[in-house]
Amino acid sequence: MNTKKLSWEDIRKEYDGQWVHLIDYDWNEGTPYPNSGVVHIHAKTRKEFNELIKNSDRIPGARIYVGDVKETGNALRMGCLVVTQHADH
Amino acid sequence: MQIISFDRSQDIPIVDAIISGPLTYERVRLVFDSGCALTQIDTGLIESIGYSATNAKRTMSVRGPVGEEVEGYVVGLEDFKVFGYSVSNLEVGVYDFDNFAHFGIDGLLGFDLIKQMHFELNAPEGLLKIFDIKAA
Repeated sequence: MNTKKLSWEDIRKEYDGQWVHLIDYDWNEGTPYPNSGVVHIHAKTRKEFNELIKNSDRIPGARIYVGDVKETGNALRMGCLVVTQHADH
Repeated sequence: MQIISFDRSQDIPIVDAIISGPLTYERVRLVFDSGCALTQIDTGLIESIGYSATNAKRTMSVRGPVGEEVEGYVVGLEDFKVFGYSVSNLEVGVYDFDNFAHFGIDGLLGFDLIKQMHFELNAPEGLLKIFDIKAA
């Protein structure tokens, strides 16, 4: 595990396109990105990232995808128009 | 009043929330999505904070403008904090967000919460001004 605290600029350079779990992070409220943090876990896919998190020591932190959130030709569709509830468990 | 800035260079508005479960809590990034009826969280994320389908209050399907109905389930989060306000036992839908993984999205902040907010969206400036949240 990394223990070095990196600036967000350095995290962007080093982990571009990856999911990162930051601990010991500094994040000014109301701003879109942290100022700095220690990269606890990182992975290129969220599936791998989630597995690593599940098998980790579960230290509270911040989950961030490092990179641009862009529509890449496949339309980016959000939202759900219909919600169907089923029987209570 | 709180002023939240979001990154206008991205194609969708993303905001922060802190979600808490039995094992841990995480700061996560959600799409500010008034077109979504219910706040939704990715299955892998919800499992990482200690929930699973065994904690489901009920199953729930969602259907978007295109595509097939998707099965998921509903859990009540211990705590959900957004824009500095906390909501206990918030019911969220849990679905696989695998199709959106490469967009860096862990979930949707839905209209169930947005409709509680008095806010002003200044999109050209990338600013979301929150005046009040009635559910808090």
